[in-house]
Amino acid sequence: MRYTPPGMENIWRSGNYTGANATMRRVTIQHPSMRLDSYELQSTFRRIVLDPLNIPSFNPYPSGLDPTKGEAITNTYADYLFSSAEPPKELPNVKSISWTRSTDQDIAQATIELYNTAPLPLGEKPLYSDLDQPGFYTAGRGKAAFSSRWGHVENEWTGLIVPDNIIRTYEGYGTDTLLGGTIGGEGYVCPEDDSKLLLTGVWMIDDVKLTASGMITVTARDLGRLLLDHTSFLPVIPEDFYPVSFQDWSDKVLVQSQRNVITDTTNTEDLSARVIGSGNDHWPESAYVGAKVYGHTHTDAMDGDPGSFYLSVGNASPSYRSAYEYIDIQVDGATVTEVVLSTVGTGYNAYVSVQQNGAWVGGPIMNYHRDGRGRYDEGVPYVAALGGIGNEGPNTIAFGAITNVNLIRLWVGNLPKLGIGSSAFSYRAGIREVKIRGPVHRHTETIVVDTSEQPLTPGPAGSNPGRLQDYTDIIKLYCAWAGLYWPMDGYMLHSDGTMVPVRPKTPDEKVLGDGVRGRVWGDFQITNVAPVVPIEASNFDKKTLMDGISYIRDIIGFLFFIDETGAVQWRIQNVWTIGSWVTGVAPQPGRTSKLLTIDERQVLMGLEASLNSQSVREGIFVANITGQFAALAAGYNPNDTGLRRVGGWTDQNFSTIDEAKTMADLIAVRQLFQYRRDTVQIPGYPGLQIDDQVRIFERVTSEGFIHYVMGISSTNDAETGQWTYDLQTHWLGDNPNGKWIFDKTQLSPATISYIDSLINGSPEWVRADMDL
Amino acid sequence: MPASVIKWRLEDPADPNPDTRSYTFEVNPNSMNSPFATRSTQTMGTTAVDGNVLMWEGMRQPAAFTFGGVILSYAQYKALHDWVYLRKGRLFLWDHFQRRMTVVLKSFNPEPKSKFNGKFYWRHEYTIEATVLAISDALYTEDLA
Repeated sequence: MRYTPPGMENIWRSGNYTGANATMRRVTIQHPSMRLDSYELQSTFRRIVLDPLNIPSFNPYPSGLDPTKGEAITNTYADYLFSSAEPPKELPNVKSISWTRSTDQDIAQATIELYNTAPLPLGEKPLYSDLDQPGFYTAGRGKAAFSSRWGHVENEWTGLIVPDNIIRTYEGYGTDTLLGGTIGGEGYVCPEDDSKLLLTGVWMIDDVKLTASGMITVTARDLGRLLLDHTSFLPVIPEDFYPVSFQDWSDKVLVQSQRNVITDTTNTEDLSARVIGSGNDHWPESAYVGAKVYGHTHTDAMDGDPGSFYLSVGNASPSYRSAYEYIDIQVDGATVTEVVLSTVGTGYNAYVSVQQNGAWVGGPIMNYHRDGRGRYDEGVPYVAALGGIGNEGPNTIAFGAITNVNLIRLWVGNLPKLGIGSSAFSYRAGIREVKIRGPVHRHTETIVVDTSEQPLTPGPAGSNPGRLQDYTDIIKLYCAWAGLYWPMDGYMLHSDGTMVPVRPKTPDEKVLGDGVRGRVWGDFQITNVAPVVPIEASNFDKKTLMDGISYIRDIIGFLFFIDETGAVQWRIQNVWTIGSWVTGVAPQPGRTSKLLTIDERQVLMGLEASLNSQSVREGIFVANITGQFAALAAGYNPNDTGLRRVGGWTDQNFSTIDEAKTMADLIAVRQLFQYRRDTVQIPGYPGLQIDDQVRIFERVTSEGFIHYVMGISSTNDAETGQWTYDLQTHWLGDNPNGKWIFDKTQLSPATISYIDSLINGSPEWVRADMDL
Repeated sequence: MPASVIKWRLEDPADPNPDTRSYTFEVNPNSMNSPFATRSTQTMGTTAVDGNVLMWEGMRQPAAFTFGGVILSYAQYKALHDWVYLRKGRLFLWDHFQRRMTVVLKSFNPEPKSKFNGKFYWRHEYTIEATVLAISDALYTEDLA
């Protein structure tokens, strides 16, 4: 309900809409300019940038260990209403205004018809053959290169009746202005100050149709267009908030912090090395390099395959001083501490000689002598030995670290009898694998992410991307980004040029951000609910802002619409208790139990009642999808014929049987609402709004129930003077005298408790007694 | 009675030339209908048989005004023709009550008549249709027997 001018309801009920009480319709048009207010805010957390192909919700990621320290972010709010530099102008020649609002539609629509001509001032000569000045309000008049063809010059209306400009409609009974007077002249009262009229809509022009016969038809939609035309994308969504997603960070948060862990380790590891030769004597089939002894080569000793092995030439006796075999292994200047070898056969004595920078490292001298049989160098020192190797290994020969090693010679003596080749020379060395090992120093830096739960002093939603404490925060934020931001220095210009401050008493810092000097134009009810899981960006990204709002609305079941003052109405649907909201700018907004009575003897011009059982189910079940539990509610059907229609809904999110029962009850109540719907025609009455309740009395259709107003279509025609409302309504049940209109006893205690909690809420009344 | 007949007069406020700005009828019209606008009302009853009658009032439609009389001379004929068809704007029409009507003249309908006593070759009876946009109070208000 809206406050109406004194006496308006009496005039409406009297049926006399003539003379001083004649219907009135006035229209202003304004060129708006979007003002953008940017605020440097501090986020609660630093936002982590993650894989763009898999963007999760915002991840709290503090700078340092203190989760209360975030980073600087910029938020930008948009104001389309309260900062315009150009005052509106009253449009003369209004033929008609019609508009439609509905709770089933995101956005209301209006059509305004205007006569596109202006009287030629007395004393001025008509141009050409024109009577008066046809086309006077055409936006392009006088602007084009060919305007001189008709002697047209620009006037005050040039460029004004065009898409995206704002139109305001004012309607009522009677007027304060002098009828027949000139706009702005003696006796003129601008529409904004006309005490007989109410603002019935703030509209953004969609389409302007001009006819050669001199009519202008403007179609427009309400300021919900700001939410439909703008998408959830840059630049409407500030860069620091994009892509937008939401998460409840109310009390405690999982905080991730990262630290750099530096590790210095030295381990004995396999070194890079390769066999470059062997001590095979220069027998015809052998050589230092390239020797093949029964198909075995020295590379077999370091090929990683224990199945292959190096095989030396044969010796007649293991006790000969010449009976030592070796392989040479090249090392690239590393530090070496171990040689590990695996052998074919056992009993070997192994020796390690090391060359450092090209010279043998000192030590005992190998007991190798040519003795006329061998051809190797004598006198080579060794640094380590391992005698009597009792197994094939691997066996380790360790020694003190030797740096800058370029060559290792691995000797073996006390050769076993391997039974390969000539029996006269059957003592051979067989080496399967050799590894050269030494200390390897490693320096590693590892980023370790620690996760801990930390208490959080909640900041405002605007202070950190995606943070919210209530679903309503999302609605406010989207509206503020779209153009419905209401700055503390806001004002409205009237069409007589006066400026009226329209300023919120307090800023909404809690939601919009610490230090933000404004709030959102509208009446918002808090849901007292926040999402239990993050709402991912995919629900919003690149969709219209209205899509985002619809997404939340569908979760919560709240109602969202733009009211006659261009303000957002976000609240629980008015179906749970008798009465209506007195909204927004009224001196005392709040709840009223008074219902507008539409009486057949006073104002009811037509009524069509529809009784319909299409939505009726005799039973409704709601169950958890896993089948763990289910609840059943009886449907509403006053005409029991024995039908057994059952409707059901299963959903994994029902976690208790009480929840399921509440859901089943609520479905039953909604079915009840659909059973009786009315279409009602009454004279126009701007005190009535959608989401109001009315009481209708009509004898032929036995109508006396309380109805919920779903939709209003208004037609206000200047030629006939007729101004009518077509209302779309549904009843609220058959007990108009109870606390609830439907039979409360049918509901479970859980449902009653739920509904009680809902109806105890109320919008934030921050626009009270606001003069527009 | 006034001292003399108050002549009807046409005046073109857009004509700055005092010689051509106005035309005074040689012979006053002998017929005229109401120059006043008609109130536009619509009525409808509420659904109850004993219900209210709803009445709306819309924009008043300008009066479709017709006056006529006799033309005796070509000059008179020509003048009326030209004032109707060559003066396209809003004119003032002063009647014999000295009411100033703001009018747009729409048509001139002369009907030739036979000579009278061998004279008045250009004798016509005529009507002129006009739309009355505004009308002032009468300046001549004497109520004589």
